[in-house]
Amino acid sequence: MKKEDTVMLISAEGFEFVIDKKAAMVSQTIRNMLTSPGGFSETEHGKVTFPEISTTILEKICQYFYWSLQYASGKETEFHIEPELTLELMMAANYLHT
Amino acid sequence: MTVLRSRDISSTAKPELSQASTPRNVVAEPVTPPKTSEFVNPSLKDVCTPKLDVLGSEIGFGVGAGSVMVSESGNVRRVSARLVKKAGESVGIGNGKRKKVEGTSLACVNTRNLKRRGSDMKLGVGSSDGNTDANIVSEVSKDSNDGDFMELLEDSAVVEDSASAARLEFGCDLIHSVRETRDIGQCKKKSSMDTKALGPESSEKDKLEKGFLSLRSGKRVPQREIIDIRIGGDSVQGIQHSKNGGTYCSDDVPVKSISEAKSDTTTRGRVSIEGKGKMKLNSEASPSSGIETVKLNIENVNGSSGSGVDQSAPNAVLPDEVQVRGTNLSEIDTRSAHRARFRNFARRNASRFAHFSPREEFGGRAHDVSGTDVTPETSNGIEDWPGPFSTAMQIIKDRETNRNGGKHGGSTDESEMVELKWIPKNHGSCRHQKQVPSLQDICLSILSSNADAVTSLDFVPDALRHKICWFLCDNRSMDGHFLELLVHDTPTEIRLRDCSWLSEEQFVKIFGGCNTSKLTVLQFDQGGGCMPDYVLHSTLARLPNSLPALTAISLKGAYRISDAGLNMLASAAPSLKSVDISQCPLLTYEGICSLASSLRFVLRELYIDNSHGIDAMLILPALQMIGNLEVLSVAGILTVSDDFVSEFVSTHGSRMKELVLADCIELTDSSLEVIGDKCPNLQAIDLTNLRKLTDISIGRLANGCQAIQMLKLCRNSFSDEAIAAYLDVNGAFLKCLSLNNMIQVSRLTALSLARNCKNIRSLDLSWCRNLTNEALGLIVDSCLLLEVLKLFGCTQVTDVFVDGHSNPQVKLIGLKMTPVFKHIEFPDFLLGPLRYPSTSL
Repeated sequence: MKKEDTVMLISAEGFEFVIDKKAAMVSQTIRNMLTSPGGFSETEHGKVTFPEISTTILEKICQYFYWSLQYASGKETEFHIEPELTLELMMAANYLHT
Repeated sequence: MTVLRSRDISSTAKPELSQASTPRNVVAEPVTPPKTSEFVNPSLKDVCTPKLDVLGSEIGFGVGAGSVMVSESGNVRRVSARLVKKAGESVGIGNGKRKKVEGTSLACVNTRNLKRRGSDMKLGVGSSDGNTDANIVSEVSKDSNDGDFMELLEDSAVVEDSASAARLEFGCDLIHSVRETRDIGQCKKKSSMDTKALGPESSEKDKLEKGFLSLRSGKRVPQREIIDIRIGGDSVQGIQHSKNGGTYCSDDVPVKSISEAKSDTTTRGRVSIEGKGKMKLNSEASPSSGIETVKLNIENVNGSSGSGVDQSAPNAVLPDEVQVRGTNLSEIDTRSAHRARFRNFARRNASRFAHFSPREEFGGRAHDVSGTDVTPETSNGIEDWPGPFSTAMQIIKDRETNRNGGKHGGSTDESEMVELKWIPKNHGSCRHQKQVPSLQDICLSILSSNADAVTSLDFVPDALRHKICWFLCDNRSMDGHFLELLVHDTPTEIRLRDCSWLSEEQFVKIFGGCNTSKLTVLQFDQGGGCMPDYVLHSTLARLPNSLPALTAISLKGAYRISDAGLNMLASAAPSLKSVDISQCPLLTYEGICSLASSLRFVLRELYIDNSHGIDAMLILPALQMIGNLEVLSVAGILTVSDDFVSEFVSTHGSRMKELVLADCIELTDSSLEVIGDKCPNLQAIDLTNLRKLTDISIGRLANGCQAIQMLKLCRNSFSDEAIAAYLDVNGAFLKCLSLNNMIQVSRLTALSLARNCKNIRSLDLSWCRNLTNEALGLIVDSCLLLEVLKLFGCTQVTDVFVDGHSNPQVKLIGLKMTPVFKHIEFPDFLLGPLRYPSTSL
């Protein structure tokens, strides 16, 4: 994966998740962060930090991004979520507008 | 106010002119000056021979005036009054009367003269005309000053005397007006002939001439309007002026009478000359519809052109008119007397006028729809009613007429083209694009199925809590456990739309230990089973101030709550701004009154839908006591009457943002008239099932409530044109529209929706079976912000529309071939306590 096609999402604990830009754009919030004019560091460096999202949740979110792309291209499967994650995941998803 | 748009325009154009021409206008008020002029001229010929002709021309004029007047009933009356008085008044009219009168007299005189001479009244017709003109001119010149008109009047009076009694019966005014028209026409002729016999200020003659001339040359007369305007410049002007002068065209009435009197001959004469589409219509109608034709013309003038006619005519005529009028300015008092008479006259004859005058379009319709008793209201309302709505209606009607008759090339083309042309561009391709379920939705569904596993809702924002509760209530898996989680640790908002599962003991237990000090929103709908009065003591209303922050409470369906319980709640929550106590049958007016008195400074929203124990008239004083009420919902309360609405609105009208009057079947047009007048800030109104309402109501709403974003109509009897006209006027701001079960909705509304409602988000066209696939396709492809389109019961819709439309985000609900959505309407989970939050608290 080329550098320009990826973004890095950093969780509260500091874990860095490198994913395709296209996948990250599934989240409206991230899309706005990366595309808004104004010279934000996110745009420049392609790194977004989420100090309130924990690692497990962020990982699940990245999985969702890829699943979503897959779904849109026709391959419809089920996205499994561990129940104990659900509440937090929902809050994170609400924040990320996804 | 836009009594007469035309008037405003002309007056702005030439204020002084209007002044001068007031008298003339007064008389000739007709909105359709062109018509009159035409009438005058051609009718002159006709007039010459029979008296009727004279009248006819007069009538034509008058009609023009009349029609204009119709809109302003005052004018009408005035004219008729004048006519009635005739001799006696003519003098008075001439002098002090409004210029209108003078104008009329002038016209009358002229006509007479023409008649007498048997000269061709037409423009530039032989020497006889010249003679006539001369006479007229002289008369005119004489009348240029105050006295002149009088003379003219007298002359006309004389003529009138000789005229048929019929004329008289209708009142001198008509005759006068007719005469005036004639005169004006004459004047025009004269002016053309005599060249500047009339000096600009010296006499109206000049003005007339100029007016005439200018009219002739200027064909500024609104094209739509009749050619008459051009010909009868003066008359038109006269009308214009009258309009400018703010005279109302009472001519409608008088005109009518005149036309009635001699409709046959005159109308025909006039009609033939008209040559315009509208006029032609008249001609066809002539014998009996002489008046009608005139009216139509007038309508045309009024309606379609509205401004058009006025503009053209006044421009041309104004200078002259003004001058002429100037001389006779002092008729105001007489005028008011006349006005009163005209009013009566109008009232008597309103139905006839109503059918044709643009303003009274609705009156007529109302008449048809709701019976004669509506007519007087209509005529009363008409005078202060003209506005954007009536113009829109007129335009639509004209378009339809043109479409049908092919009379006006321009507009016909337009309408033909606007004819629902919609080609499905999309061939189902965008349907295939699946909507990816959002992560939130997936989580929600999992949560709702596993609610019992949730151990804590701390840190979950309120919006999400509400969402979860919503789905849980849906699944009926809401239980005490979750409720405990919700109330745990000083909740701020609790929204439960279904508490029917809750038992009394549970309620006491759960809420007994709840720290309600920060609770701002409590929605406890359908909680009747668990909330009798005595329970409140130990739970919500523990202490007088136990709910200090509570801003909104909803106890919909709390069927065991009585007035005492309500009192307890009110004392416990002194800062309540929104109270929803719908479907609480035990509540009576006493409860509401005490609620109102304790919350009178803070309460903003009150919902008492279907709480049938409450008598509307008895709570009216309490409601009027509430200072800041902005939302009132009284759906289903049958005691809500027109009196209630009018009194309520007179106190609170300027603040009202939402009124739900669904199922208050006793309401009639008068309520909507009051609402239209007094509620300029109204944003949402629900008129479901109000069958007594007619097009007048929607017209009033269009003219008066320009801020409406949510309109709910269901099973009302508004016509297709009326709804289309409403959308033309107010469609731009509309976000949510329901035309459920409005079976008369069809092409016109669809066109209007597509053209105007660019901001609409939610549209309900269920049971509108007259909407074709093309209509719906056009709507959906034009309203790009549309999210939800409900089409229940629309069996006429096929895949052509469903697969062919190219709006990617619209959700079609209710058709056989669309998916069944689990939820049609989600509440706005982010909504705060108040539906219309304001900056000031």
